[in-house]
Amino acid sequence: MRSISKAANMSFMDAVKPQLTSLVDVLTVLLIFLIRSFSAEASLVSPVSTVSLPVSSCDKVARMMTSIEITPDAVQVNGTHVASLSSVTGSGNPMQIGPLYEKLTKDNLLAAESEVMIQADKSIEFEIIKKVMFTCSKAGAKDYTVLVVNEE
Amino acid sequence: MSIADGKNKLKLSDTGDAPDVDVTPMMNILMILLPVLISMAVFTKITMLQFSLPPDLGTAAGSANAKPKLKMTVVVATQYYAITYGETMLDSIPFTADDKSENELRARISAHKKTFDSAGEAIVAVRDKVRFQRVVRVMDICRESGYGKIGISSATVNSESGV
Repeated sequence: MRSISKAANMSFMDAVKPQLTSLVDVLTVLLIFLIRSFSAEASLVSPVSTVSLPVSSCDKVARMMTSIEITPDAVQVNGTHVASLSSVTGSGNPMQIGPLYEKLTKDNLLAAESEVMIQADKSIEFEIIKKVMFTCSKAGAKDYTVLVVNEE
Repeated sequence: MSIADGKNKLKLSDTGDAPDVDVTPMMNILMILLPVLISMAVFTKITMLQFSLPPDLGTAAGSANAKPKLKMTVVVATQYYAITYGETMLDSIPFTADDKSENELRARISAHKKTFDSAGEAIVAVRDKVRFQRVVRVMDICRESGYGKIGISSATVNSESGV
């Protein structure tokens, strides 16, 4: 009687033993994918959430510097609103963006480094970027960088 | 007497069952490793694209007596791309929404590159109404064609040459 119950118990244990092979396969593939997308270099620059950056094949890692954000609504400097986009666009408005020039010169943002980073939305027209670059140039900027998303 | 005792001890393979591999430690490692990697995974890589203003527009202007060096210029308009060298227009490619016009532009730039004496410098001249994404694409094409130094300027409508 005892041997019968032991045999029944053994067969039950065999039946419930889970097959982990497929699960291990899936996890291994996932592990390889995640290791591949792992980056040892921490991203120092985080783009503004309202800006949809253009896609590029450039792979130079972004670094921190004075940043000018051109969102679909406004122009910002290091996250601080300086001008609305409606006050910048149009041929009636001057080439130099007054509030942006004031912010760059008053805060001495280009004193230590004459490079400026432009975070512009991919749908922005070049007319606005031209005015921003012109203003930065007047404020002392010599080198320019645009923030992009690597397409890979 | 048990069959496992003494000389009659059976090997595992003799029983007909395949040996079981204990995957529990591996599963434990994977379960720890996966959340760590998922939290650190980079799905979008933020990079930067460097450019400059042409010397006569920027503050770092060269000397007034220096003769300006001719550079390849890619004009980006809403309806077309144009490749110019000095005042000579070499090519004009109509813009299409797919990649066809960009591939054509890449091929034409590569074809003309041998004839230019521009030492890897190119200018991208952009009209006012062009979207920023297209400017970046043209800068990419110039960079991939061997033009390491890229300058951006504004393109004005020239009624005489049509550029």
